[in-house]
Amino acid sequence: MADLFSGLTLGFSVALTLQNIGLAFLGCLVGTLIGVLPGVGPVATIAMLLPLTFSLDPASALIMLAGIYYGAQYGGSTTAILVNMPGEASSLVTALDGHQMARQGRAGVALGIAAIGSFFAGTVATFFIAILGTPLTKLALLFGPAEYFSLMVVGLVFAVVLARGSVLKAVAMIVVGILLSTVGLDLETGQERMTFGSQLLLDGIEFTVIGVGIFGIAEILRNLEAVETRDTVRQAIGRLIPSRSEFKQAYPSVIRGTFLGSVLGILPGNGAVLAPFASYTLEKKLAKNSSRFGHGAIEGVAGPESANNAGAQTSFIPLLTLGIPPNAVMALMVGAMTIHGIVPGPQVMTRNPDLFWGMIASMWVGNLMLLVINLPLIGAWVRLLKVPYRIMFPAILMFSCIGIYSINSLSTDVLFIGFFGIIGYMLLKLDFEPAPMLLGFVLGRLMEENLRRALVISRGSLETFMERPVSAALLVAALILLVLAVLPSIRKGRDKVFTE
Amino acid sequence: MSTQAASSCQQNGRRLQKDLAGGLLLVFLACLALWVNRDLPQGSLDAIGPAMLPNSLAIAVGLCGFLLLMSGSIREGERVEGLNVRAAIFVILAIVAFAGTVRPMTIGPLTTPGLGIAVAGILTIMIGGFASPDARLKELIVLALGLTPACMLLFGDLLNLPIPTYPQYLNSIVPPGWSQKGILRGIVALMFVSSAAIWALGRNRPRSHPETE
Amino acid sequence: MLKLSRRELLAGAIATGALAINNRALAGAEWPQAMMIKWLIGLPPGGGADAITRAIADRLSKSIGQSVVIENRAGANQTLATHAVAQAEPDGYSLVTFAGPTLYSRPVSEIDKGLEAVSLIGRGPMILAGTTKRPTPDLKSLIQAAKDDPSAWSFASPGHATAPHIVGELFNKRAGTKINHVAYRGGGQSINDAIAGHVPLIIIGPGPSKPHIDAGLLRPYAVTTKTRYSLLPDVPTFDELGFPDFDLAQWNGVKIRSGTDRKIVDRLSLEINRIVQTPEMKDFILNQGLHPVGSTPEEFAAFYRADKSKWSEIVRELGITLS
Repeated sequence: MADLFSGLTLGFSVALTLQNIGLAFLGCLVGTLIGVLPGVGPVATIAMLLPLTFSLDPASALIMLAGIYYGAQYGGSTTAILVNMPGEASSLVTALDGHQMARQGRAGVALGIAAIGSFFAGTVATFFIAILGTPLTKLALLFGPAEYFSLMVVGLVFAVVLARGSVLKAVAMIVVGILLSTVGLDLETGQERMTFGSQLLLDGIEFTVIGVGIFGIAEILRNLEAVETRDTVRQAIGRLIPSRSEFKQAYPSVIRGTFLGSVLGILPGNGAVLAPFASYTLEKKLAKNSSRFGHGAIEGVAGPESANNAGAQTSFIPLLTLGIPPNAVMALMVGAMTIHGIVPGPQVMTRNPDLFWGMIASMWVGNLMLLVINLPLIGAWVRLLKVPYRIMFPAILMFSCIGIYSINSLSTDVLFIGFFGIIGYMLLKLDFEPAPMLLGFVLGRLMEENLRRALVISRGSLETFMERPVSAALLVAALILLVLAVLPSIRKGRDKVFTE
Repeated sequence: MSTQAASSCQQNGRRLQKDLAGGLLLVFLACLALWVNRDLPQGSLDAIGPAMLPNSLAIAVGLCGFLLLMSGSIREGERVEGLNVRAAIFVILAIVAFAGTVRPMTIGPLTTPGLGIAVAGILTIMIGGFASPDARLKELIVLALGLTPACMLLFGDLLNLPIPTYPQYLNSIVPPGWSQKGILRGIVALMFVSSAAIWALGRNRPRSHPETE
Repeated sequence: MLKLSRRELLAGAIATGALAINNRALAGAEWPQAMMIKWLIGLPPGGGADAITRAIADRLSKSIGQSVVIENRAGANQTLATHAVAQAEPDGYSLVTFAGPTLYSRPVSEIDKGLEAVSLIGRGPMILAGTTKRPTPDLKSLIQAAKDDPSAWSFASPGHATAPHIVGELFNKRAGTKINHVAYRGGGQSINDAIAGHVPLIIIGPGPSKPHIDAGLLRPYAVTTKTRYSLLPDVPTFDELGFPDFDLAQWNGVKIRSGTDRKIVDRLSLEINRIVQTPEMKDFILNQGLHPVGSTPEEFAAFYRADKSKWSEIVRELGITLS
């Protein structure tokens, strides 16, 4: 405990210098800006801004880069809520209820609860890292391929719960999503699968391309259909801050989301990706009236947003304590450390305590900055919705094109968002929901790879999934969740048959 | 739900039912995947081949499709509504225009010139704008000339992303001593000025007729 | 929208235009156009080759007085990037980093024809390492244990037909073991699984593995080059342990569109070598797992040819299908 206290004191003495507060602010601002633009992710921006940090000391450089990461995470949610365009898997869930709230003229409330929930989650996660970071590293080591596979199975069950309409259609979409994730070179044998001989499909399909296409472009097409639907979005500004009753409704979700996100974020191999889905599932199951979900339930924004931010925060644990980057942004952080002559690895904490604790303290500072930047901005964002749609959508379209192009400098990626836009539009027309498909897509690749790894290690024995306790527990949990998720809808389905 | 469905199927009696269409789509997708993967080995549990998972998934997709077909043919469901063809065409054209002009792109014997965001952005907004039936030409011009340079500044100048901002050939014709950033800023300023000018022009003149371009 | 008067706007425009004509006097005759040098990498940002390229590009830009911008065009085994440069104008404005060995099955003659060598930045070993939870202190006991109970052993690599995968299969063949290959996507999770012992062995560059070796979480068995890795001087080479044909290295080099003016190629090669030889960069490259080299175009070209034929011979012998 004394260690913790002295560590945090050291950390805040690093993070609270004028320069570092300024850099955290700058990072969060740039991050928010690029996060709000659909398709523009933090990876390209951090990569490009790396040289600017060469002249800074390592702690300052990392504080600024981390700021960009939080900012982009938060900014992505803003876009998801306002224009239903999730640029990353993490903001997919926020779009579900957040955008519905915006359509009902409650965009300000959705953005407000997202900001407040994120700040709370960030604060808790910061202390979580400070107190438990080192012991929790052991948890990460418990997870091998078998455990990951089972965790992904749990994740797919969440996808069923995400669905609003027919369970059969949701399952179909999940499977299609997994099928799409197998496009590209087979990791184990190097053979091409469903690439149609195209070099561009060798590495599979980029998430952002599908996300922006199937959600964003399809949304534009749908909005252009009817005058009424698009006018509802700009009908009223409404309140900007959640009311007391809304707050009361949302705060338990924030706490649960924070907890879920903190735990899942620790897992290497990007466990944080599951956090918002897990939280959404939990909230939907706990709600007295789950039919509100998908139609603007505030818990469906508060929980996942908190989970997302907590996960984003605790995913620094594998990086800080082991030097193992769980995702692309963290890989860049490793790059930034090495450029500054710091060897990322288990010794960072002892060799560079100012950096280790400085970063932890800066996380909290960064979260505060986000609140400071975003609360006043909510009014501006919401007012943006008053811009006539005929002017708004060409702008969204152009931003999407530039954003997608900037990921990999490939014009063909831009063409793909058009293609997926049409597909997404057709799916909407046929009452298929895109969210389960995207979740299937995100989890599918991780699932297949870990399944095959586990089977190579076990020499083809499926028992490995039941022999390993963590894996077995996860599979049982998945089964229970599935029963809980499917039973009510089967019952409902039967009722419907009877009433008809 | 059921009354709505009933009314919609009275409205467009000739249209395909949603479940039937969805089922057909899934079955088609399944067959496509199985056909594409026909030459890949399945493998066994201790050495899973590349085709095992995709094929099982394809079969599952096909099965879902089949079930949907069944339920669609038993029950009267909602019919498929008409597609907004105008919007789809203009949005796709706008995206293609962006992809084709932002960087040189070779399609068969044809290579498009690399014109950068300066041109690609304007094209996207101008073409895409007409996806909406109430598009107004002047408004779109002002928007295109105002937003495009803002993006050029943000991505090209401030964030330094490797994204072409203006036509390549300008590099070889400007007088020596000009840098890439310099050309960029010059073009941006020019675009901002013209956008503001067109906007001001439209505002000063009282509108006598509704602008429906 | 904008609430500026026309006069203010005009003034702003003139001021911006004036800023535009800033000095490019430093950039010599080699790069006459007002264009940035585009340096492509076929890998996503993060990782050793990317970090090295960025560090060199930053210094190169200063020493030649010409902006250099890095473009990560990841995909298709680096060929999206190499192909793009192989088709660019031979005007000296496009470079590409090769993170070798480059092994592909698709015809790459147009890539090899379209590119010429500039400089080899560095080359370094791969390490066979493993979890410290297994009681095998050295390579000899490891081989014995793997022969006694083949089903208990497997090794992690960053993917099918990557250099570490091929090294692992070559080791299997030479040592007579049957250690299973477990493919990962890049390094991150494989290190985690190797430390935890889910996959008992891993073959990986020293850049990402050295911190864990230093911390006692991974046990190094041998390095794949003829010379030891200077930051881990206690780790023996395979060669020393009786595997004479193990001289397999990972390397980073720079290439340019072939047919580029000789003056430009020489200037770039010279500047890159000078940068690589600075003590600060030497340290940096070494920490990324490579021994800094810095070569002339001819040396890199010869190295590339020899390296390519060496690897393709091994691949043919092992019967691994490339992708």
